[in-house]
Amino acid sequence: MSHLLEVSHLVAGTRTTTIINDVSLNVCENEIVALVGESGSGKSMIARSIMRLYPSEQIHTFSGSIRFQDQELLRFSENSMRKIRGREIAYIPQSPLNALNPMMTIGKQLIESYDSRCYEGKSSPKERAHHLLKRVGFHDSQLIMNSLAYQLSGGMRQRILVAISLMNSPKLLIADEPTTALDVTLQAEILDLLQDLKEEYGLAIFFITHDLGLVARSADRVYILKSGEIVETGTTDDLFYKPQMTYTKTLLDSLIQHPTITASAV
Amino acid sequence: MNYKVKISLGLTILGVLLFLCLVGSLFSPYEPTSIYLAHKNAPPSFSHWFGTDELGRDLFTRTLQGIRISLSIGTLAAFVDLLLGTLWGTISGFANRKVDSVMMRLAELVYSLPYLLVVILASVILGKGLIPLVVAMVCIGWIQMARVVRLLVRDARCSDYVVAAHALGVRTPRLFLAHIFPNIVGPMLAACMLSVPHAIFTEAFLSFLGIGIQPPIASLGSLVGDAIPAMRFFPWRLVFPASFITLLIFSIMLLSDGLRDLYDPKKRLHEGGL
Amino acid sequence: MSNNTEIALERNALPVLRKIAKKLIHLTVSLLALLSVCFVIMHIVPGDPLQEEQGVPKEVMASLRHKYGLDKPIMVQYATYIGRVMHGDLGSSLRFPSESVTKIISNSFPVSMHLGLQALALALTFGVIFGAWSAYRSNRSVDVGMTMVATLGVSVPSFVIAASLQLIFALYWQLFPVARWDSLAHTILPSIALSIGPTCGIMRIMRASMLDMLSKEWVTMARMKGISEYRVLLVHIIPNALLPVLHYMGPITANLLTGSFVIERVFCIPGLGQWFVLGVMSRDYPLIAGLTLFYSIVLYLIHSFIDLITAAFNKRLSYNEGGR
Repeated sequence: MSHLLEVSHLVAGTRTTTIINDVSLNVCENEIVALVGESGSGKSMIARSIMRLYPSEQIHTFSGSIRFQDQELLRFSENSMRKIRGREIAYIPQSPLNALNPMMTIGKQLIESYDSRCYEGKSSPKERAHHLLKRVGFHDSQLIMNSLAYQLSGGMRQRILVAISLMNSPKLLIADEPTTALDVTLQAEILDLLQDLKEEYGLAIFFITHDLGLVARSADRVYILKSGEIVETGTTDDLFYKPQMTYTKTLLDSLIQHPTITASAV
Repeated sequence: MNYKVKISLGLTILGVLLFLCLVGSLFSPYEPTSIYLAHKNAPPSFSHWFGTDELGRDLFTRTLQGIRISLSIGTLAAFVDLLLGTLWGTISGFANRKVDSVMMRLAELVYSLPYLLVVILASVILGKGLIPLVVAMVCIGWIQMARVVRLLVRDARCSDYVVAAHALGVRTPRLFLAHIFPNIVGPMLAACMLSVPHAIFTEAFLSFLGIGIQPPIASLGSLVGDAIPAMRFFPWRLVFPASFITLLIFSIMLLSDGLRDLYDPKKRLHEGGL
Repeated sequence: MSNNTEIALERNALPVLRKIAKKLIHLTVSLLALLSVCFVIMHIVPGDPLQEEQGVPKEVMASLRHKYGLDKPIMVQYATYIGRVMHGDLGSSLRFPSESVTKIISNSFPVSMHLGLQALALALTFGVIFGAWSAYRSNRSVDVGMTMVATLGVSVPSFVIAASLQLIFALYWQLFPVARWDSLAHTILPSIALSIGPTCGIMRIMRASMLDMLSKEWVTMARMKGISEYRVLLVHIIPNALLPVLHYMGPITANLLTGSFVIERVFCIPGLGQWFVLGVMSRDYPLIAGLTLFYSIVLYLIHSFIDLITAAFNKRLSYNEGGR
């Protein structure tokens, strides 16, 4: 099976510092791949590099390749990249608090993502929005469509962001620490939702996190990132039961007893 | 634009102006108020560098006097504003809710009208001349400073290090002097600096209208005011005072902008990238 | 999925009406206070207005005093004054006894309003455009140049601008009429002169606000959605960036008002500002008091209007300060 997303020997950073050093990873269809790293390891940078939306003008990709569906993204023009964003590859940001425009209704923000060329279904943008809102768990989708960001809780906003990312039926979902800003129960909900989506739509999900507990719950394969370099990779089971590198072992040891891990482990 | 550029440019221009107004008169044989009717409305020449006005007074000397007046009044007014405003703002910042509310309500009452309007009205009551002008400017100007200081003090009181000190038993006067004051001095001075060009402008405005500095003392504002009726035929009478008042205000604005950037870490971070 | 609670959607009608009522009461109280202060000042100042008249026989003075009611006790004068004002009678100008202050205001306010609105339109249009442009190309030569110009524009005193524009464009190049207010062409130069300060002020605010917006997370998110940069700018960035500008409208209006004193003087425009300066010069107290009162009402209405709008928007922003 050829990889949906293949990152090879990516090097990126500012002129003075290298943030990502020779990173290679891949994601296939219908699987959840997790990228685990501590703060400052550069994991968000990888997501941004794939989307080619860096937080500052100073950051560049120096070398390496990012291939999506056998096309070299790094050689795409900005225009072509725009056609990929939100359509083939969707992004779920870390902080739901600020990721929604406080002045626009949720409905408008959902509908503006809709690109009729991409989505082959017959439904209108409104219908699609309602359908997705229900899918992520809102009973009264009309109420949500009409409300503003400040009226909603963090968990609700995060679910809306998931719905937004699905508007154009993307092939790959990049979730950048989607649960960091949420409570534990909400974290579980979002993860379960992502898993359901993967099974229902055959999505590939690239999941970035620092929390190994979440990885154990949902991921199929894992990459461990340390200071901009991949130090270990493997299936979730392999990593948790047969960790190879010292760093991985340290991470696992420092893991606070997570009830779900012990449960699934048993 | 880099804050360093702003500060250095501002200081340079201001320095030149200061040098001129303090030392420049030594180069001129004329007095600002001496009248030479024979030479009235003369264009710039070697004997009169900036030309003369309708009474034959040398404009170079008068412009320099104007700069001195504008600068001194501006800084004096801003300084008194700083003192009064800091006093009121600190008390208000430390007082309990009721007293603070009353104090600020009193201040707000006058604040709702435009500053210039109130200053003009005050001038009407107090009369024309230098002292009434300064009093008129100051009686309203301190309010802005008071607001700034009050806000700074209130914010500082809530900050962790002050709460910690307070919890350790530090008494209020020492709390203020040793803990709060050093940390708010920066933004306070930046705000004070900003009120200087404002004061200079106000003085020029009033003198232009004929309410502020009275002849024969020259103010840059009154020089411009006198020049306008005659500017079609004697444009130099407008050009020089106008340029100098602009440069004066511009340099101090640049300086205070730069200082404000200096004390605002967010802005500095942004300009540096990332 | 868990049953997350209902959202409390606020219904806005009644509280807004209550707010307006409160504002009106506040206005009346403030104006009453202002009136009283005006009255007190007028009567505390040494020398009453009639003292300026010289060489007038005592009997005439006495009858003049009686005519203006200046011989009655203070409290009576106060009550009469308040009563008259309530009826819209602001008294007559002392210098032009045939002109009632109210008539002066109704004749000259439309002129000043025209001038002010034109200047405001210019300032908003160019200030917003240049400020946004400057922020979008921040720290490049365009931005540096425009920031310099903006700082300069805020520093140049309004009378210098007015005089310079008049000198260059009207007297020397003769592109525009020099003074007075007779045709549309007459309005151009004064409006430009009045608008320069506010334009630069708005430009600075807009630039700062835009820079703030450009770093907001929802802007990045909008780009992640693959929306065209054009739409991101117009829909996500600029409308949100305009809020601080709205807030600045209060000081801008005050600026335009006091600016009009100078502009109307330089260009000989028969507006409210001219009258005010005239009144101040000749210590025409009824005129000064009446005009000040009028200015206060206008400014208060504008400030309240701005407050209402900002309050409506502030709520939307209140929840978003938790993150970066």
